[in-house]
This record gives sequence, C-alpha cells and structure tokens, in this order.
Amino acid sequence: MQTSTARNVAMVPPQCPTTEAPGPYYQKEFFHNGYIKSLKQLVHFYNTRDVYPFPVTSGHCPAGKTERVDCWPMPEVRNNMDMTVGKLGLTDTEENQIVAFLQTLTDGYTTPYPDINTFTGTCMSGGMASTQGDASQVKAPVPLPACASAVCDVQPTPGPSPIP
Amino acid sequence: MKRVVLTLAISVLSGGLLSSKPAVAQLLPPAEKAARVRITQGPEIESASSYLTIVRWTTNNPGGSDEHFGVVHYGTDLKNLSETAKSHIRLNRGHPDTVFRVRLDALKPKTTYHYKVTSIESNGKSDGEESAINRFTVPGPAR
Repeated sequence: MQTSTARNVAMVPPQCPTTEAPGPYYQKEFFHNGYIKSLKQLVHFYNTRDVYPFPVTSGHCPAGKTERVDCWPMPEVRNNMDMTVGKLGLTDTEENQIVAFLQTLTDGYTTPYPDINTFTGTCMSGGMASTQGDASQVKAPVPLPACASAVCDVQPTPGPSPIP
Repeated sequence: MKRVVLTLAISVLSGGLLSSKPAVAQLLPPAEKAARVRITQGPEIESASSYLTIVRWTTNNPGGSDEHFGVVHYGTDLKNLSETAKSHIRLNRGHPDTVFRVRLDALKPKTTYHYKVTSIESNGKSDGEESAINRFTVPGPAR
C-alpha cells in the first residue's frame, strides 16, 4: 500500500477557511472512515490513543468523558495497529504546534476546487472544541456486527506462529 | 575505438534507464544491523486495565528492516508462556534507541501473568535479545 503525503493536508474550501475547532468546527474528514474531523483531533489521537482507551464503540463513551478528547473507543481491527505512536506525551501546546506545522505544507500551487468540482456545500458552523463535534455524531450500533474473518482473523505479519 | 566506447556507454546508460524501477528505487535498503541488541530499559507495564495492558521496553536501535515487531510471550503459568502478542513499530534510523510497545488484549481481570519480551524484524528474524521473565496482575473492572 502506498502512503499519501501530508502535502496540502490543511487545504479546505475557500469558503471554509479552517479545519479546526471551534466553529466552524470542521470542514473535512481524515482517516479511512472519516472518523477524525480536524488536524487537531488527528494529532490528539496519535498523542493520546493509548492514554484514554475505552472498551466501547463510537458514541458510547462513559458519562463525563468526551469522545475524541479523553475517550477513544476500541479499534475496528487490532491486528494492524501501529504502536510507534499512541502515547507521545505531547502537551496541548505541542499538539497545536504540530498542527501549525501541518498547515505550512499548503504550497499554494493549486487552488482548491478550480473546476466542475467547485465546492457548493455549506460550511459547518457551531459546536465547541470541548465536544469536538460529538453533537452531530451518529452512534455505532450495539453490539457491532461481527467482524469479517478475512479481516479480524488475519494475524499481522510476520507469521505464522510460533514466533522465535 | 572511441566509437565502440561511446556505443557501449550509451547502451549501458539506456539499458539502465529502460530497466530502472522507480518504485523500487525509492525504497531504502535495510539499515545495518546492530552488533548486539540489548534491552536498556524495562520491560515494564506502561498501562494496565481490565480492557487493555501495554508492555513497554527500550533497546538500542536494532537496525535491519524499518518494520519491526515487539513480541511478548505470556501466560499464567511461569513455566508455560503459551500466549504470544506482537505489535508493529517502525524504527527511526536517526535515533540511537527504540521503544517497543505491545498490546495485550482480553486478559483475565484479577489474574497474575508472567511474561518475557523480544523483538523481530519484518521477515520474522529475531533481533536476538530476550528479557528475563517478569509478572504483573491485571486489575479488576473499573467501577
């Protein structure tokens, strides 16, 4: 699998000039399923995924906890998790500094939506950083449908057992 | 003679261009392996709950493939560490040390486990180090 670069990662439609909370609290989505809504959330995930793990699915964090702030639901698939990250020990300010760096990767070489793909939607508005857009969240079903064996029964490479 | 050399040079050059594989050329060869891999810190329990336990340890940078796996052999019987957990990490060639972190899921609450750790390259080849056997107890469910 090829990995995309972080070039232009902060680009958003010109009508919606930020990806970050608070309001407009997000304008785009990240990761394969759009779970992460802003660069701040993205950096916070890699920084605290293993600090605030909860055995719940999305939308079901315990009372008093805020999903994507101090509650990260369990992963869809465990076997491909990368443990190089997950508990980086960054402060809130350091997270913001990484976001600021990512925003410098906008090169200005192209303008967003220059043709028939011109963004015609409306910018998200409202919300607060403390809730990270959870008010609009669709809860995951409980229990989750069974994970396909072709996904969840596959051990990470190298394999198979026994491992030396 | 000069014409022969020139033709040869052009052939080599063009052959090199025609047979080049840009996608492959962008991959760095594996780093040089460390002469000896030693655990310099840990292993220790980074965090433990009834849901998830993470074991962490640090070694000198083992080198070899950038893709590595931390491996934990564990079990409730000191003499039979029958379970294995492994988690992926990516080496940073610029760092002298490497931190391995491995997830242990679905452990039994209020149960004592024994464990030892090691690490392997992406092809399964061992880095050669192994810890002594340690133990920890999984806490009960949070209330």
